[in-house]
Order: sequence, then C-alpha cells, then structure tokens
Amino acid sequence: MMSEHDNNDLHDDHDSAGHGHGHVELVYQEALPINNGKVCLWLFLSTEIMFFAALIGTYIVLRFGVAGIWPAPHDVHVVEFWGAFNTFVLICSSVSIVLALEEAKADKAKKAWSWMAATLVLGCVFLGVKGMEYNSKFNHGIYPQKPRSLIYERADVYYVAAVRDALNDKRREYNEAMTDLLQGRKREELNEDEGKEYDQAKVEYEKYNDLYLAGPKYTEGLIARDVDARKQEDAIVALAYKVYPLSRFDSRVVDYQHREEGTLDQQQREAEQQLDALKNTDLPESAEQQKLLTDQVTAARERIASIKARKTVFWGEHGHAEGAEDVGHGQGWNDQHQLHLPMYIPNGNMWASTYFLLTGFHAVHVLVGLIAFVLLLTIRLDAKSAGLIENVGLYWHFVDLVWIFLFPLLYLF
Amino acid sequence: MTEHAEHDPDHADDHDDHPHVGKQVFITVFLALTVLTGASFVIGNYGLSMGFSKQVTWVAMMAVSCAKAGLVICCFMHLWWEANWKWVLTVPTSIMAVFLVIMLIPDVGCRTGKYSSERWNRAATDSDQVQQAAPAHGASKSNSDTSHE
Repeated sequence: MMSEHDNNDLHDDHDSAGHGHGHVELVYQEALPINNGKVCLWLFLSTEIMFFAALIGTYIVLRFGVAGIWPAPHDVHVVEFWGAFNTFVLICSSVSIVLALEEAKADKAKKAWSWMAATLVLGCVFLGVKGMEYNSKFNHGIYPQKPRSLIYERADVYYVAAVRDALNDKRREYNEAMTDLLQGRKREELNEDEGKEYDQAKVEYEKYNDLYLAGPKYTEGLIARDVDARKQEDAIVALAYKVYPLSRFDSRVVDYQHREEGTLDQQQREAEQQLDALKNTDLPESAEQQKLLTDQVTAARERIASIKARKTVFWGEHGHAEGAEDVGHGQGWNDQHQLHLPMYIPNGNMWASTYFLLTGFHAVHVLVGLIAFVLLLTIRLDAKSAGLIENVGLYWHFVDLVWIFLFPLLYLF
Repeated sequence: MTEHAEHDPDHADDHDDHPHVGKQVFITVFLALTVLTGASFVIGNYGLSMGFSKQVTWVAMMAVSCAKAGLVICCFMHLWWEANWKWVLTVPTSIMAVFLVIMLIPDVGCRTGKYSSERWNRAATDSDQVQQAAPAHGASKSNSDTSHE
C-alpha cells in the first residue's frame, strides 16, 4: 500500500530528475494498492479465466469444426427455458451478493446476512435445476461415456445388432417369466392370480416380440439381401428413427417409408401366393417330403407375419406415410415403451463429453461458492468482514460470468 | 506502481476503497442483464424464423454475452472503479485466453478440411453429409442447414 510518505518521495524524485540536478532514487513499492487477499483472489481469477477459456475454446473449436452435424438441443434433451432460467437465477444471486457487500460496508450486519442467505438459496436453486437437467439426460441414456451411454455415432450393422440384442433380452425376460409361471402346466391349470400374471407377461412378450421382428430382425434381413450401401443405411436410419427420432431425419425416413411400403404390399402378395400354392399342392408320399412341405408352409406364414408386423408395428403407428410433423419427439420406442435401446445420435458422444465437462466444472465452482456462503453465514457480516465478502463476491461474479458464455453456447447455438 | 501519484488524477483518491456506488446502479445493471438474457433467448429460439442466418444469430448471441460479461465485470466486480492495477492482471490473461482459442483453430477447428473421402466414410455423420462434403466448407455448411427445425 502506498503511504503519503511514498508519494512525496516520488514527487521529489520527479522534480529533481526533471531539473537535471542530483541523483535518481529508486523507490520500493511493496504491493498493488489493494489488500493482499484481493490480490490473491484476482491472481486466482486470472488462472480461472485461462482455465475456462481453455474449456470453452476447445468446445467452440470442436463444435464448429465437427465432422458432420452437431446434435440439436432437443436431440439431447437440452431445454432452452431451463438454461435461461438458470442464467436469471445466477444474475439475481450476483445482485444479492453485491447488496450483501453494500450492507456490510454500511455496517448493517443483519441485512447483509439476509442478502447472503438469499445468495445461498439462489445458488442452490441453480444446482437443483442443473441436477434435474442431468437427470433427464441420464434417464434417456445420455452419459459422457460407455457402458452407460446408449449413444451410437454410426448407422451401421453394429448399431442394428445392439438394438437387436437389447430387444431380444426384453423378449427373453418375459418369455422366461411365462415359462416360470407355467412350470410345465397349461394356461387353464393356473389359478386366477397366476393366470393374470401370465397374461400380462404374454402381452409384454408379444409387444417386444413384435418390435424385435419388425425392427432389428427385419432390418438385418434387408441388409443381408440388399448390397447397396445407401439403401442399407436408409434402412438402419429408419430403425434408429423409430427407436429415437431426430428431427433432421424426418424427411429422409418419410421418403424411405414411401419406397418401402410399396414393396411391402408386393412382398406380402407374393408370400401369400406362395402359401396358397403350397397349400394346393398334393400331399407327397414320403415322410421326408411331407416335412419339407410343412416347413415351407411355416416359413411362408412367418414371412407374412413379419411383413405384417413391419406394416403395423413399424410403420403403422402413425398411419400411412404421414407428414413428418406427426412424428415429433417423444414418440420413439424408447419413450413410448420406457425402453433403453441404443440411440443413433451423430456426434452424440462428443456432445456429451463437452457438455458434461463444461457444465460439470461450472457446477463444481458453484458448489465451492455455496460452501463459502455457508461459512460466511456463520460469522458477523459487519464492516470488518466486508473485505471477505468482497472476495467471495468476486469469485461468485466470475462463476456467473462463465455461465453467461455457457448458456448461449450450450443451449442456443 | 507509480500511476497513482503521477498520472492518474481520476483515481487519485480511491486508495483501496471504491467510491460509493448507489444501489440504483446495481438495480439498473440487473435489469439490463435480465433484458439481455431475454434477448439471447429470443435470438436463439426465433432468430431463424425472423429471417436471420444461423451465423448472424451466433454473432448476435456472442455479442450479447460479451455485453453482459462487460456489465458484470465493470459493475458487479467493481473493476470500473479500480485503479490501474486492473490492467496488469486482466490484459495478459485475456490475451492468453484469446490466443489459446486461435491456436486451436488450424489443428482442430479446420481438421475436416483435409479429410479424405475414406476418412469421411468413418466420420460420425450420415451419408448426406459425405456426399455434400466439399472439403473446407462441408461441415460448417451442413451445420447451418440442419439442427433447430
């Protein structure tokens, strides 16, 4: 700190140097004209600026230099309103801590305490909303990394296989439940409660079996038959869209639906004709040939069943090739049936990594701020502690500052 | 540090306490911040339907953010009323922060500009993009076309 004495010295030096007489005396200035706590806090904030600049800068560069398309907010359950709400909450908390400082400077400890408490509450609200937002992502299988993350970045055979396995597990689960209930008996032999349970399990089994046949199983058949990579990808994107619809695929899937539905009718007619032809053939004499014929009939029936499932379960839910506006979000199998099937979100993993890293580090800073508020609330917030409040306030404003940039970047871009 | 005594008459009397700032200033800044947040929200959500291009809304939102940051730094963090030491800390860190981002651009930000078609085939994107991807501008162009329907 600069004393009156130092100032006089400086002036004297200046004067004497200016007149060319005497010698120049170097004066030792011991520190910045602010108290040590504030110097330390500003040095800390300088490192924090660079820390968040690195994180935000990396995000900007990755997001705008991305290969392909970055997930839209609604693709990954980002709700703009809550981002704006949290921004407002942080602004309010910045004002309340500034007012706490003003009251403390005026030596009004009680008022300062109230404003500080309000700041603490607002900080908690922010973290609460953040937790709710994280929860909605976790519930939909959006995690920063596997094995919990259900995000797939490519529409390829591995994606289809993952969906197939997940649905098969579900199907098998209810099939086993049915077998366990029966214990070798028939449905009619079960008592009333067991019967109800069995029927419920059967309904579930049939639901998942239909999804399994109409979705991944049919898609895998298509991929095996058609070698055109573009058509294969169309089929996989259609499956991914049914599981978890992304609005950017609306028109592509509707186009594909038109094309496939034409061939589905034809396929069904052919399969039915085949079945009729098989039925009309005379029963051959040898047992071997008889078995072959019954196998063919079963195969033809199964094919018809799977084509029908494709028509009704896969495409039928929204009527016959309706416009894209009818197949909006929340209509995917994951949401309709509370399933956790793998989702195709191009660049979803990169999105999740950056989102959770940025918001996570910010949330940790908020948490540290809240701890500081709690500690401050235990002391008397009068003029003597104004310096302390000022330093905590500076930190808190910085936390607010970071969010001011994160909000548009993460929610609105 | 001799700026106090020598060439800073404006700040000559604010040794380590700031001049008293009225509460009205804070309330005004609070209102301004709220209005600016609303502006970002409107630009982000309705900018495209108002006929602005994606890039224009991005620039507008970042400008709003910078304005908000300026208000918080100057008013709430009292930097407006601080002595000249403020430059010693803020200018070097800001330069480092900005240069850090700039230095990432050629290596990371523009990496897709040199992607071969082979590499594009393995990129996390659907084939629409691969077909459109004229190197340098492919990715950013598709960005502006999609997302936010």
